[in-house]
Amino acid sequence: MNNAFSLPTRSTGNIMMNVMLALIPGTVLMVYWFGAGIIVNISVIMLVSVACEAFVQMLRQRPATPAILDGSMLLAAWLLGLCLPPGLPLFELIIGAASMSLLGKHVFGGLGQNPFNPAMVGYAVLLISFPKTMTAWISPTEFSQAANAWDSITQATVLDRLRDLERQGLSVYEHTLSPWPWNAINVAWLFGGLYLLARGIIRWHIPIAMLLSAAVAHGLHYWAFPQHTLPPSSMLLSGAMMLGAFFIATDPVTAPSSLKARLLYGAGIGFITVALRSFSNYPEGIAFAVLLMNCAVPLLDRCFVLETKP
Amino acid sequence: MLWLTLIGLALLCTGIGYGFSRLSASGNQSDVLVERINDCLPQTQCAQCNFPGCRPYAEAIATGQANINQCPPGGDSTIEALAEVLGVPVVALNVDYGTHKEPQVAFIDEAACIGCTLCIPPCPVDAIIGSTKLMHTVIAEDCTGCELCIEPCPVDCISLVPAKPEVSQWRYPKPARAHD
Amino acid sequence: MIKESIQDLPGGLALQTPSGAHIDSTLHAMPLQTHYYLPLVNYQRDVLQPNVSVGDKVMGGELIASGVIAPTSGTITQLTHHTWPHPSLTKVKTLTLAADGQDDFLTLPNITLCDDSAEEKLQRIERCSVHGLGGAGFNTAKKIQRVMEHNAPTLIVNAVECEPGINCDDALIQNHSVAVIEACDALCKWLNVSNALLAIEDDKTTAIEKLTQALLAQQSTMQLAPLSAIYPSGAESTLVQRLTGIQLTQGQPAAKFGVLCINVATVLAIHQAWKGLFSAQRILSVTTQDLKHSVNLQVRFGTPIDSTVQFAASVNPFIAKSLNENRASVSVGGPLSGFTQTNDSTPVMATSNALLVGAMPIKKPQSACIRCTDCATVCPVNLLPQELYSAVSAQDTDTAQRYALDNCILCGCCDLVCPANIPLTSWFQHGKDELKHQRAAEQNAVMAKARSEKHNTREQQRALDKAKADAQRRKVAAQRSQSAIDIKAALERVKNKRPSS
Ligand code: SF4
Ligand code: SF4
Ligand code: SF4
Ligand code: SF4
Ligand code: SF4
Repeated sequence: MNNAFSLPTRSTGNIMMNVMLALIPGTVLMVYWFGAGIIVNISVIMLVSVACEAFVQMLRQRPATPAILDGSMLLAAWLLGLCLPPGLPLFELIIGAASMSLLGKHVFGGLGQNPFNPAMVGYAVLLISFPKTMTAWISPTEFSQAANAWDSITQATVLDRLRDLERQGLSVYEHTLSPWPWNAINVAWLFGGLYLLARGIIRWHIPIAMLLSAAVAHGLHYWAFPQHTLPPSSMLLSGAMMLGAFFIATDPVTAPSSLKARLLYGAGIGFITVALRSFSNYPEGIAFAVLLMNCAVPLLDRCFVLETKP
Repeated sequence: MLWLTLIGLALLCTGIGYGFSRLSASGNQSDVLVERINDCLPQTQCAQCNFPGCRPYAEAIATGQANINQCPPGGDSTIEALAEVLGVPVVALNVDYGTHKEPQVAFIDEAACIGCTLCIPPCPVDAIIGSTKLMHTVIAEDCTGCELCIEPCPVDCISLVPAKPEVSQWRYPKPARAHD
Repeated sequence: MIKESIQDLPGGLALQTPSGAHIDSTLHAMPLQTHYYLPLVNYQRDVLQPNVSVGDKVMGGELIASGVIAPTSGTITQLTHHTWPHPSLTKVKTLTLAADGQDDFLTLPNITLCDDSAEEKLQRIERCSVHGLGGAGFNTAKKIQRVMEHNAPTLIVNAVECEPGINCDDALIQNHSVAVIEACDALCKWLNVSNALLAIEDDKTTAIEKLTQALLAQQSTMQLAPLSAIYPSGAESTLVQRLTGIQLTQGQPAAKFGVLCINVATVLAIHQAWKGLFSAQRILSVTTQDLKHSVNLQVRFGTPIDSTVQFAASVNPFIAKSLNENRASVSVGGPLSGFTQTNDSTPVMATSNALLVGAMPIKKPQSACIRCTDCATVCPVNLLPQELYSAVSAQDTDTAQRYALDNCILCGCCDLVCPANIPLTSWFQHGKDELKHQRAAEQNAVMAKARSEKHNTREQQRALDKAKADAQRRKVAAQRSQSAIDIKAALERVKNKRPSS
């Protein structure tokens, strides 16, 4: 198209670059608290997924370089890397990366065709296949209560603290009152998300709907069973909430098209996340919430065919 | 809350299932079916399908006596439409019945016509007008290009020409796709 | 006099022409050419039959085919296949008119607003071949006729340019503001218009100033409607929606709702037709591809584009420079809708509002849609281009219709923002065309089916009648032969009974 009008034209690669840029602060904080294992996770997954990408493009007799350079796979790899506990065995990382790329994206026809968020597909495959390593250090009782996978990474330290607390006769739940590294990391994701909003790369509908509905659902749950629930104050800044709201749920490929549908989609993710966090046997709520709502996207798209703008 | 979630999901699945059942539900009465099949056919009435017109062919399809790939004027789009109505896989046009051509109309060389009226009865859509010993002509808008009038003419003065001038037939082309 | 509170366009793009763009608003009249090429086709791609034959002498204004008039006096020298300004780049039957240099026009009597009937006014519009000069090339008389079914219609005079880089309407207003307002007032009076608006971009300060002065001088009831310069403000459906609140969907014409949305140059052409002037020319912008330099020419229909561009180069050195760099091709239309045409004797037609020197730029390589919905954000008619794209490219016309392909105005905004560089608008153009042909084929099939059914019942009836008649005849014949036998027998008996004497 004619570029005589100086439009801020973006390219797919450019969008992905910006999202990765927004991931940097949170990632740096994670590395600071949890060590270089995070970097190892991310880089191994990136390498493997790029290799898968090249392999598939070769099979399809299409040029590999543009597909890799558009950055979509690298971004998905980065997101998956952030969700895994550091020190995961190498072969599990490889399986996670391969399922993300092949099962999550290419079986559906590649970029733009996948109904499920690839990073979450990779995560779900790993969680179901290797529950032990993926939820290492979590005791059976703790398993059902743990807020999410990320707390699981910190369990080594938290468990120690927990024992101290128990010796002092305090309740199990109080340890979660100050998972301050997590709060800090979530704030970093939040800032990344605000950057994306400001750059117009994502729109507010999904994150806001998701955070609101999670807060409401959690508030209800807390009101009903205050003994068994994290206090709402820490909920939005715990675990993968902000990363999920701004980086995972907003994946444009797997989100619905129209804005009303996006509000519902975000709200659904928030609600299911809280439901899973509160009741399920799995520690991570967001991955399954995103995957479940991905299933509903075609239906949502059908319902809101012509209602693009609010 | 778990129950709420489960109930929500169940409702969702029910909705999807209901939608699909609505999509596949269709009238089974045979004449309704024949009508629906007939509506997919191009109505050229050329009998290339080996039936004396589109509706007889539709009846044959409805009773399973004919395949869906016997109509050359309809070509691939008709086969696709039939496959959808009948819920059967799409197949390629059977070239034994002929090949798909661009739309055409009959044209009578009026100078050569001897006015024998032999071309009038075979025309399935009454597109030829004329009277005994007088020149005949084809109403181009009504002619379906079925070729049935060609054979009876004793002086071979009927020919088929492209239905419309090139420029009216022109369509905006399909743009190239990323990997084509 | 100025309309307040105009709705925002629900999308669109602020397409600025580059800073330091120089637009020459003088109207340069092109000198008489030696040859004019008159394609025998209208913009709906219907082929027309010529009223004249090769060798005929024609006067300027003579109808040489339905809706086509001779732009000057001369001789028809050829009937050939010639290129015409259309993205199909096909050739169509074209009459060549060799000008005799006299430039004699037929004379038509004046039509006055009060004395002549509506019928006569319409006929004159038709006779002078007034067509929409905005870009679609509709038959203006037909459009007005539709509006006349409503009493007290709304008039929207559209002076919003179709695309950046096109400034023919601006130039027209700057040079003929009083005539424009006069023409608008005349149209209002004739049609008993209740609400008359003149839509123009708010950044056209000179034009607005001149219009304001002319409105005051004429004591006109027209209202100016200055619109923020967001592309595509000039499209009929968006304009009507913003100024009247009426939503035009599925390609409905505004005339159906009693709104006459008409290009400003066309309004002037109507007024001139009543004065006996034929609509055989238009103002056309010649612009460089970078949109930095633009001149406005008065060009007769049928003028070859190569002479037009050459003339533009002779009045503007920057266009000359640009032409020197790209001799081979010229793009017809603006920077969004334009298409590349060889720089040859392809003629200018009523729909050609701009020529861009040089070919259209080649698009960047495309990749897969990532459903970023940028396209939906800018779509001025609230469509979901990404969904439309997947439906149209999968040839799924049902889904495409559900996503309202019919409402797409082919503005090209979605193309401009798509990070994957998908040629969305070309897909929609293709899809709309396919849909149109499919609907026509379906219509034909319905009619053929009806006729065939009639034919079959009639033939059956005839066969039945024939069988009945045959049976009757056989019966009569049998009776007749029976009675013959009876008579014979009786005679025989009589003969035998008679005693031999
Ligand atoms: S082949 Fe001819 S007669 Fe048979 S269905 Fe097709 S158009 Fe009708
Ligand atoms: S005119 Fe001839 S070709 Fe046309 S419909 Fe009649 S029989 Fe068929
Ligand atoms: S069959 Fe041929 S010669 Fe006889 S009327 Fe028809 S066109 Fe004329
Ligand atoms: S702008 Fe392009 S990539 Fe984005 S949703 Fe639209 S078509 Fe897809
Ligand atoms: S071309 Fe059609 S779909 Fe694209 S922005 Fe314009 S109106 Fe919307």
